[in-house]
Amino acid sequence: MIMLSNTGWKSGLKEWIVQRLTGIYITFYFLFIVFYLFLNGGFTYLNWINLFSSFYFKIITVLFIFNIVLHLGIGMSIVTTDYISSSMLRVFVDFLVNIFLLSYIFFIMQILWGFK
Amino acid sequence: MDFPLTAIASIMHRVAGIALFMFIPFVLYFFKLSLESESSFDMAKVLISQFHIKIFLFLMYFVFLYHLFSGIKHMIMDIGYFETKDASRRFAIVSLFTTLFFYILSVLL
Repeated sequence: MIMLSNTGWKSGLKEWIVQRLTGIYITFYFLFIVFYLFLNGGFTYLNWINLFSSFYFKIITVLFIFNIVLHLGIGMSIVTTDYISSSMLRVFVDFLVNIFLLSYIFFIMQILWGFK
Repeated sequence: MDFPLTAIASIMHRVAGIALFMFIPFVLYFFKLSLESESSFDMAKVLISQFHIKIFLFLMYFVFLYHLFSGIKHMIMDIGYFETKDASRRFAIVSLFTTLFFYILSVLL
C-alpha cells in the first residue's frame, strides 16, 4: 500500500508554492512591460531596445525565464502524471519538456547579450 | 459524460497552459527578430500584421489571458474564498467574463 502524506519529502508542497510564486513573477513581468511601453509612447524600436539594453532588465528577463522553466516544468509534469498512465512514456515526455525548457535559458541569453 | 462547469474551466486552464508551452518557440523567434536590428524589428512588425499570423496571435493572447485569470482565480480560492459548489461555479463564470472583458478592452485599445 502506498502511503501518501502531506508533509515531508515529495509531498508536493514545494511545487505548490513554487507554482504560485513563479506565476506571480510572470504576471508582474508582463505587467511591467505593458506599463513601460504604455508610459513611454507605445511599441517602437527605440523603446524596445532601450528596455532590453538595460543590464538590470536583462537580469530580470533571465530570472523570468527561470520562472518560466519552473512554472512549466511543474505544470507540464502535473498534466503528464494525470493523463499518461505509462510511466515509461511519462518520464520520456517530462524529459523532453525539460530539455526544451532548459534550452530556452540559453536562447534567451544569446538573444539578450547577442544584439548590438 | 456531463462535466460541471468548474471541471471544464479547470481542464481549459491545463489545455491553455499546454498551448502556451508550445507557443514559446514562436515568441522566442519574434523576440530575436525584434532585438537583432531595426530592420528585423520592422520585419517582425510586418510579419505580425499578416492576417493569418495576426489571427493566431490574437488567439494565443486570449489563451494567455484565460490562463492568467484562471490562475488568479485559483489563488483566490487557495486563500479560502468562493470554495462552495455554487460560489465556485459563479466564480468560474466571473473569471471567464473578466478574461473576455480585458481581452476586448485591450484589443480595442
